Amino acid sequence: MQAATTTSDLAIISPLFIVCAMGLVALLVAVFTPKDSFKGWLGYVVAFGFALALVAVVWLWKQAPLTLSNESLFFALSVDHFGLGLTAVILIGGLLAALTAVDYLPSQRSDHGEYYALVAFAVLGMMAMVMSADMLTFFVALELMSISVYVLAGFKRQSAFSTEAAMKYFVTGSFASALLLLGIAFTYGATGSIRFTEIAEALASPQASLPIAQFGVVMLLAAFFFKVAAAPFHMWTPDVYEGAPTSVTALMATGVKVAAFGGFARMFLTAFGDARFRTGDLPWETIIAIVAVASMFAGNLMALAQKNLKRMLAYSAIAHTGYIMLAMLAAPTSGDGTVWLGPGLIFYLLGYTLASIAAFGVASVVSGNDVEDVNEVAYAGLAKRSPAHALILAVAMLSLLGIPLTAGFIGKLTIFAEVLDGSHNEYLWIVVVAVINSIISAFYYLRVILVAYMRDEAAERPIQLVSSRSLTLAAGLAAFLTLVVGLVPSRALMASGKAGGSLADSKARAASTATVNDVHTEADAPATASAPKATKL
Amino acid sequence: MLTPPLLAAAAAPAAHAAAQQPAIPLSWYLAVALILFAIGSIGVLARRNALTVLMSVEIMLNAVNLVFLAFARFQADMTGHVITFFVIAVAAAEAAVGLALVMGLFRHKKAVNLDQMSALRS
Repeated sequence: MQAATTTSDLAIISPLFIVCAMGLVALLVAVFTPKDSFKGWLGYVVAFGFALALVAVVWLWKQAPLTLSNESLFFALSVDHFGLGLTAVILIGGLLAALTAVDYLPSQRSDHGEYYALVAFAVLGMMAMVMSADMLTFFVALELMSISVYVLAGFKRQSAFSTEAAMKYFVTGSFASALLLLGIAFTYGATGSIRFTEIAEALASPQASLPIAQFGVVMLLAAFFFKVAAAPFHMWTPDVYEGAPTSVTALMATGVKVAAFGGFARMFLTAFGDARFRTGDLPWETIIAIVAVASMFAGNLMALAQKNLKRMLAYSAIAHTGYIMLAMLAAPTSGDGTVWLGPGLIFYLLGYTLASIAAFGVASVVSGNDVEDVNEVAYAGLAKRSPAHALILAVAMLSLLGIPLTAGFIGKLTIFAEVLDGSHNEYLWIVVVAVINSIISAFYYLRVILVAYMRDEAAERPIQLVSSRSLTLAAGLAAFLTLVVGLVPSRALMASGKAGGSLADSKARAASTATVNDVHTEADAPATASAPKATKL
Repeated sequence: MLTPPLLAAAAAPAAHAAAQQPAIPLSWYLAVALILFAIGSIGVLARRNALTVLMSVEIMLNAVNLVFLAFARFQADMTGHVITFFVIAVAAAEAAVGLALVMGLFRHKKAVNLDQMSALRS
């Protein structure tokens, strides 16, 4: 805590500042560059900004949990291991996604500098979302992210597909925002506060109006399901993922999903995490369990029928939403109602981000010059034409499937073990369902590898590769990290465990408004308690 | 420059309202807001004109504003009032992007009908 008080507020929120500054720089430079010149170098500038912010995050991680001394900032942002860990995942995803766009956008005849500014602002929103400590910050951050991504989805203006995808995303997204706001309004009405910790306190008192809070939680859940593309609310996903430029789809599949899961996990576990509510009066955990099962089946069964790589990855993203939701089911609770998370959620999100970037990176490579579709014929025989890209694609598919030695496998294993441990085998059925679903998913993931390696290139439609060093570098780096995290998971698991465990601090943090010095001992206890869990695997 | 009598007059209604329960109960405000919200969501889900959909989203957001203000007034808390301003600002940004997208849609289809967005259906 001593280190925390010496770090100034400006230093604590420096990752947000760096990303915001890079976005503004990119926006200004984009205005003053000639129309027909190559804008890809702005991608490197923004990627450098993300790398710089990542360094700042690592520096802050060593000192976390940090306390902001400005009162309004203190209540708006919680810069703890949870927020910083997820911010790191978001920045890695954003960095790689920005690199995939550098040569891909010119090949799609939509090379505009504003793209990189919008990416930076979207990432800024994501970062603020996973650090937010009250509903208002959460809402504004979510809107910053969403509005930027609406524009990005329609970035290929001359394409009817892209415009249509953006319009669909906009309509469903703004509908979800309205639901989220209604949820916030009713939670505020029931508790008289918008801060997560104060909501938890108010709900615990007997005079809290539970019916109003219940209505609010249902609305919040609906918004959550929209944003992460969970089963009954997933209809927009395939169209939007397919129609948007592939580099944007990569950002949507990784950053948006990480931010939505991180932000909502913090909200639900901090504000409504009391064990009495989770399966009792505000049964969000039960609802999430049902939706998780529905998402897994809807995603995997529909993915089986898809021939288009991007559309198949969209359905696979829905299925992965289901797996990740399991991690929210078995949040460990201590006697005094303190809730925290195991390493599963954050580790899985990291593995999923890396594998998705690799997969969408290869999808950008084979989408050739201004070709809209990435059907099987677009990458059949890729192994003979470009062995490196085929290998990256194979690693990505194996990780998404959850084959041992990849990050995806460790992620699934951690989540399943956590659910069984945390619920004392009460949720055994849901783990069985998830394993069955993993087996179903093997059919369509392995088919992609089969097409890339066993089929021959179609004579009438040869593979059109986008030759790009940065794109190959980003996808290759993502695939490489997938393997590294899969082979040596202990450090990532420890960090994820520490991040998940730090959610427990929020309660101590609320108490610390009066006595700052007591926080350290209280806060560290649950974090260390969850650490052995991480190393056990 | 406000003279003391004017200040007192300005402060009087607020003090009066805080002291005694307003004539219209909270549930009425909530009912109106929820009816508005329902109208807005039906508009988003059922109407096919993109501009009507945009307006319906605005109705939903304003319904939520009403909920915030009602709760804030009845709890004598300023937070709800503040949030309303943020919602108005965000709604403006959202409308700007929405209208731009409608323009883009119109360029391709020469119509703003959401029913005609079928290029991506498989």
